Amino acid sequence: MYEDSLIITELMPWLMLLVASSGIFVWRFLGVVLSSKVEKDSFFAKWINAIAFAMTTALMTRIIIFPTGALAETQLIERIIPFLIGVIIFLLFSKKPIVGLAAGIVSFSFAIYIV
Amino acid sequence: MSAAMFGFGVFAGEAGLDLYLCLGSLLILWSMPGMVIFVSLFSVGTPMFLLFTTVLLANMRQFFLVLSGLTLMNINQHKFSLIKKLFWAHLISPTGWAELTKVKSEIDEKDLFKFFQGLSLALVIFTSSATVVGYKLYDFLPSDVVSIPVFIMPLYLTILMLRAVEIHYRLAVFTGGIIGPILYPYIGDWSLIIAGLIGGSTGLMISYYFNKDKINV
Repeated sequence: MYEDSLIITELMPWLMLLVASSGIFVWRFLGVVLSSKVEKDSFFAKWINAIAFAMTTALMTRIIIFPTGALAETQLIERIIPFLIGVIIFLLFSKKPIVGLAAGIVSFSFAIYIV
Repeated sequence: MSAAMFGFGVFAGEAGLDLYLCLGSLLILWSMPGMVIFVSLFSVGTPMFLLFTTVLLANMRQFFLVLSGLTLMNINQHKFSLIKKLFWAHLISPTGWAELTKVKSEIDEKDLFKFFQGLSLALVIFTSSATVVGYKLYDFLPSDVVSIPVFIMPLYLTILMLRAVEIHYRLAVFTGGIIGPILYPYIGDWSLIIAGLIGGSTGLMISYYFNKDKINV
């Protein structure tokens, strides 16, 4: 009896993980099923792509403005200005994304260590 | 993405997950919001139904990413079984999807799926390694050092998306990036869906209005 409860305790975290994964699986399954009904060059496909672009950027800016974990230990101004510097430098030198990325990282490191 | 997973390894270590569960959550969920929610709620003993509902509501974006990613790769031309499609759909992350949008104009459409397979394999290997390193180092590294690799992912993906040639996608990027954080304090994770719907529709409509020929609908 004691051993049974020990096994259940050991398995419980994995069961919780499966429950959590089923919450994501629902959306992936719907995406797969509907993908067979969508024409690649249709207006609907372009609309879905545009939504994905907007949504992913919304997630990225949310990570910068409302972070969790280690990034939350830094000040908002220390994150947002280097982020904007990186984006603006990229827009100025759009053929070399690495320049914008490097500018953002250097500015962020400078902000958290020096300022 | 590996940089972000390094941060996730630190986060999971701090929350008290064992290493196998930490790696399991990375590979089984393959979605940063899902992983963060799982670790946060699991570590405080949240009931199963609440865990399921929270993950479900926070991950609707997976529907749009999967639909968009599979359509971009024209997955139906490959005549895969449903299981195989689900397997590859599982590996569509914002990073994988953003890379797909970047290369879609550079390589043949029939090679896009092969590119995605290689990219996914590399992402699984590198993110798993980064998660283990982050998990093992969480006791030793100061948080400001950890914050640098975590900062890279949002900046890198934003830059990747701004590389889109089509003006309607660029407009969607700007609109979504501004609306999302404004709505977040009021409606939480729903802000992503609303920002996506408003940003994507606005970008497409403005571009369509000013430039009917190029949008080619």
